[in-house]
Amino acid sequence: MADDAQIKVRRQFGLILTLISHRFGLTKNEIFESLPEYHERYNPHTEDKQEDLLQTFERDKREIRERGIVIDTFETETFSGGQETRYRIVEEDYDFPDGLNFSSAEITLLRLAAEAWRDGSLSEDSRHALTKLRSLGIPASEPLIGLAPRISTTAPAFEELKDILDKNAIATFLYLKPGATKPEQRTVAPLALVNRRGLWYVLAHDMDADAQRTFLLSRIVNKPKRLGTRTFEAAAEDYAAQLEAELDQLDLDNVAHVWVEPGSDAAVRLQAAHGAASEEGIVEIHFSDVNLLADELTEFGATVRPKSPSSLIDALRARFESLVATHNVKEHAHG
Amino acid sequence: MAKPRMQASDGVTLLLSLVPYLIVESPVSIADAAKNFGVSENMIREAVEGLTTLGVADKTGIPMHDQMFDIDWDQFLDEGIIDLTHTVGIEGTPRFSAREAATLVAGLSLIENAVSGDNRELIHGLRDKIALGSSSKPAGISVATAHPPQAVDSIRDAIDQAVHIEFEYRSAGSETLTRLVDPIRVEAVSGTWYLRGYCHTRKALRTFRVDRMLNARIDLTPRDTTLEEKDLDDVLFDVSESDIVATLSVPAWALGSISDFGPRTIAESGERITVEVNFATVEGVYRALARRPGVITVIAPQSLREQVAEWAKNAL
Repeated sequence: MADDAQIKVRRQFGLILTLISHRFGLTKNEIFESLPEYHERYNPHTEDKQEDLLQTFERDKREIRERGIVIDTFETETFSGGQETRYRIVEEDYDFPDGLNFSSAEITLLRLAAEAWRDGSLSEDSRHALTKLRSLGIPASEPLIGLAPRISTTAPAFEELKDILDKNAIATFLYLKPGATKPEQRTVAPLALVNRRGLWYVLAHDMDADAQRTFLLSRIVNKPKRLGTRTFEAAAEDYAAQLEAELDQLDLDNVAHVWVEPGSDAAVRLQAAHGAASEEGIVEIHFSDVNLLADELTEFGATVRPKSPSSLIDALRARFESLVATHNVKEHAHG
Repeated sequence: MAKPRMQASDGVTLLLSLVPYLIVESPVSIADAAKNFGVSENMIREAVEGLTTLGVADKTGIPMHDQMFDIDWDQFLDEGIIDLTHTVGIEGTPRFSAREAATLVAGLSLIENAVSGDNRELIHGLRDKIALGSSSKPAGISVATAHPPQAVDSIRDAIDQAVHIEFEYRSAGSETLTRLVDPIRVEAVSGTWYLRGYCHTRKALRTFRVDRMLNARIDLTPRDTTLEEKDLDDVLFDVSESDIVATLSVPAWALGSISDFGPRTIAESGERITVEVNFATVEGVYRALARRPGVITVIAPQSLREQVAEWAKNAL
């Protein structure tokens, strides 16, 4: 690690120690005077340095809070009758509650869970969680399970949306509606990112429609950008759970019947996922979005035949018609 | 796997985690501490040395001696033993942030349906424990998976008992063969389950889609491969068997949808890009086109264009 990073580690760790040890809190100036990594840069008489120092302090606070450490702020009266802000970390909020224990078998599962995140900024979050768990000194049980789950966050829009979500900000991107052949501009405030059966969804407040909408990340065709500096304060709710519940309900309500050609790849894979076919070779498929199901079935060509609902029959027909139209040799030759 | 980038925040979390570990475990060797945290001995040594220069400062800016961490230096330098003799400020394991907790909960959801019944029960309890150990509710991110194909249960049993697994397998676009495999690991990638193992039928390491297996059953012959999880690389498939080279026309905005097929750009004109892609089978071509029907088109070879048109016409 570079020296700058080492100084930062010392400064942030020192700040946490100091804030947790002063039950009645410290003011900003007391913090700057106390911690060597601050007070070496602290000069109450020069404006510039002060500005730089305040920025460093704000960033430190933000980064410490991002790691789940609650820095409490409260106002007290000064001797001269003014108000000043004091900072502290309350020990009960800081560490694991008494009696929270993990067995070796549980640690093994948690390690597997943390290792599912292989790339992107969420792998940093899971790495921190793992280091904290390791402080318990509990070894994982052997043997490991021979299981390697992986959650990919390489969807092109993922990191941008997560960043914008973290900032409660507003995103714009080009979105290809299912069945459309041209993407269109959307302006939304992201509320939650949900991975369902390998696909990433974002639940968002659509600013133009002034309503909640769900988008599939794989249908966002450019890098989402943050719109200005505006933020969107959504009510504090578990939006991820809300979206999951909505998709589950859709799954229950919507059922398709699809004939599969016996012995085909479609028959093997669709029965593995959705259960055995009827005697007539019909597989019953529950789905949350008809266009998504049509997308999944297209690759099987004539080895699948949708029987119901009619929206699925239409969606698949439209896909094959456009494939015929764009590959039809004669029409192409005659323009 | 690429080595994760270490950042200043990792250093802070390591120190915050090292203190409670040492409070319980010390005296402990540097080697054991390094093993526990999965980091190098050097990192532990540096962290401990750093710790002894840190403490709770008062307004003079200089921590008093009794407000600093201290260790038994003789043992540390001579024997590589960390014996924490004085500690200040923090004692317990720092709580998870909402996002950290969410990554753990999501990871557990992903494996929940693939582990044995005992472990599944543990996972239910773990969700509550993680919430208890977090400073705010896990939020913002979640993962839900479908039940994996049933064959996963047989494969897990085969791995647990260190025996073979046998199944009928139909490779994309070719005949069905009975495969005898030493299972090494089950991987779930983007909602699809794969088995990686040594295939005795093909005498090579192979990756199988679990949803393509038929009649997966345990074969009680003890496993005889010496290959282990660490022998597997991160790439699931190699593309050595590629018979078809297709030229596709793709709008720039749709290129991302087929990035996993490894398209090579050969020309750009206006909004469309011309790419070449290798496919093992014609089914692979259909799969790529199905990602954006009517948006991505085959422009060469001519025979493949005709084949695609015919295939799509048959499906109408």
